[in-house]
Amino acid sequence: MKKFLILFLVLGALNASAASSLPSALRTDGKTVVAAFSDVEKVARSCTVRIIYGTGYKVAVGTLVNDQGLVVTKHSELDTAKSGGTLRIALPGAERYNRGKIVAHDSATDLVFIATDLTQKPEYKWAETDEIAPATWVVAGVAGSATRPYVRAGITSATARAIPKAGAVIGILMGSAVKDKKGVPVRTVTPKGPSEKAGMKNGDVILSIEGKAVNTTDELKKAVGKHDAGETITVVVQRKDEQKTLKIKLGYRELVFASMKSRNDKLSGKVSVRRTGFEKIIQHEVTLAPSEMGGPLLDLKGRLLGINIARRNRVEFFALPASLVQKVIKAKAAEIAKASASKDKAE
Amino acid sequence: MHMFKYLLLTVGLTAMMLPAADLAPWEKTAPESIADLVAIQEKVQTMLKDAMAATVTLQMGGSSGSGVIISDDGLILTAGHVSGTPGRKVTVILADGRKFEGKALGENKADAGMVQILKPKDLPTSNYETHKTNLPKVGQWVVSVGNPGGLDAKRGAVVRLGRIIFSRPATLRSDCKLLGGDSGGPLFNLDGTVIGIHSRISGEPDQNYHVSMPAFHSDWKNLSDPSLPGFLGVTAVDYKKDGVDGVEGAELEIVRDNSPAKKSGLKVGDIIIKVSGKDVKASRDLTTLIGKLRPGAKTKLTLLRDKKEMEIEVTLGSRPGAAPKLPFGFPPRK
Repeated sequence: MKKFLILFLVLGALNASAASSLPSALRTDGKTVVAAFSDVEKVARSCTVRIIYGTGYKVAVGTLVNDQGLVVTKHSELDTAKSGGTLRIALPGAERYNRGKIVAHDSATDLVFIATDLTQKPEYKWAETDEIAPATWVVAGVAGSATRPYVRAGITSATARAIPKAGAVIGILMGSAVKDKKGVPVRTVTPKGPSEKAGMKNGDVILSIEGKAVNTTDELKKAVGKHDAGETITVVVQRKDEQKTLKIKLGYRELVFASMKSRNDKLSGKVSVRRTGFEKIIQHEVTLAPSEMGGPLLDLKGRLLGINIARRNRVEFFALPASLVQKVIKAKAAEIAKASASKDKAE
Repeated sequence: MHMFKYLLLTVGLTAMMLPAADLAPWEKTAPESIADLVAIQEKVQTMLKDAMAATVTLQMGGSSGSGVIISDDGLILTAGHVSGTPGRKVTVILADGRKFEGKALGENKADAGMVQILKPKDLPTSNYETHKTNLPKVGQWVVSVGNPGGLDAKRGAVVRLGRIIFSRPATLRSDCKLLGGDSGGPLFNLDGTVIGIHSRISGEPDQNYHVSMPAFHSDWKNLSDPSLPGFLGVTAVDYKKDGVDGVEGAELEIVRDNSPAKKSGLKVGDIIIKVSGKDVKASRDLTTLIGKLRPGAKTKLTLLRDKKEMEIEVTLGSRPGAAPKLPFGFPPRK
């Protein structure tokens, strides 16, 4: 009897020391907690695709939106310029990748459509409302593996709403326009900024933006200001005797100019190249990298609430609501069908 | 005796083997099913309305933080590094858009702080843990509310769900994701009771620190009463040398460690003869004169050391409560 008592006391002590800090498996995103979402994970696995693109096998996440192989993801993160738009797509557990081809994109929502040969039927039902109450469990589909789950969970964390457009720049300091001379001279190209990445040099003279001539600094600002960060615009510059056409992906003023970076931006790691200018978003707290946008956001019943579209900072994440995604699919249907048909012909 | 042991063992085993089915879903080691998750969600959504209504944005000059109203007469719990210097002006913005003028009350070493709304009217309030030493359990589900990035009227306060990672007398840690601007915001249990205040954010988004409620309770008077006297941190006795040099004053017998007195260079044996130019004839005078000043006040002390007269300027502090020092980690944002 005495032995029993001692054993019990020892066990008690062990329990107490284990309880002093919560083991990682029991944390909100820990393995044991995430296991409770296994029914939703099944649904997520039926529609969350892994997208391999670009040089160096970059990985993106997308959502299968019908049973004809149509996939959507976030446009501005999918940098396919170097790979000529060739994509490889696979559902979880697939033995091989399917080829994918970009067939349409929508700059208002930053969604891009990819046609694939996938024939599986996604298991979710589209949510019938965008009015998701705060503190509703949500599950984001991510590119998992045999050892890492295909989902991450959290809650909706604020009211669904519009996110207005905010300050996009090309990342230069403008010189003064010279009277009677065409274009706007570039005094300094911001290091690591959008223009530098596109090949702009100090001393270039910007002649036009998206085909429209710019001859004053105001005209230049206006022409850039029409667009949102993450959008790629065509800029023609004069460099000595030649004209060059540059494709510049716009960035946020506060991120391009390092001195304007807020403490929260510094703490937030990488954020989405486009995190504003959305007609409506659902806000949640599921931690996702910018490269993990484009995947599905599901509820506990396996309904598709929306498509993840932006990491605003390390605690605020946005998804485009289901109704908005469906609206864009409908609006783009003809364009998608036409581009898909030409793809079939080519094969 | 034998019987008694047996009884003890039985009670112990029963407690250990309590079937999990008897626990509420949010009391389990981890949720086991969608049904458990739904139950947690419903519990959170039930407490959320009142919790959100009582959470406020605090604006001080160019900076912004969060807080929570806990009484009809407008007492707000926040972080000490948010409320800042006692007496400073604070604009309090409610979830319903109303704005009130407020002022900072006290703050302490554990980063507890309070703000008072000056003309309170029809305020939403939240319950808070009133037991003076209760701490949340490790693993307990908690809800964080606050304003990451400052006020965003269209967005409102942001809600996050997490669990307590550790629970120590002054400091709690949870995996609720927080960012600058959340500081001072409330940490609730699932019954909607405030059990902590967001204090410091770490480099990891889901490893953040909260001031515990015991850190408020152990120091409540000092935090909440703006008329409380400043603190010097000395014990003095009357100094009188009859007929020798005619000096009267307060001789320092104890200078407390880490006190404003110690920091300013006061030493045991110093004889204080004036506070801000006013005579100190006995130790009682020193207590009275210091007692008229507020924490944060700068005051000039005239004293005799080794028979030489000298002056020392000292910034008064707040009387330290029982709140322990911050254990480690990230310093509060100033």
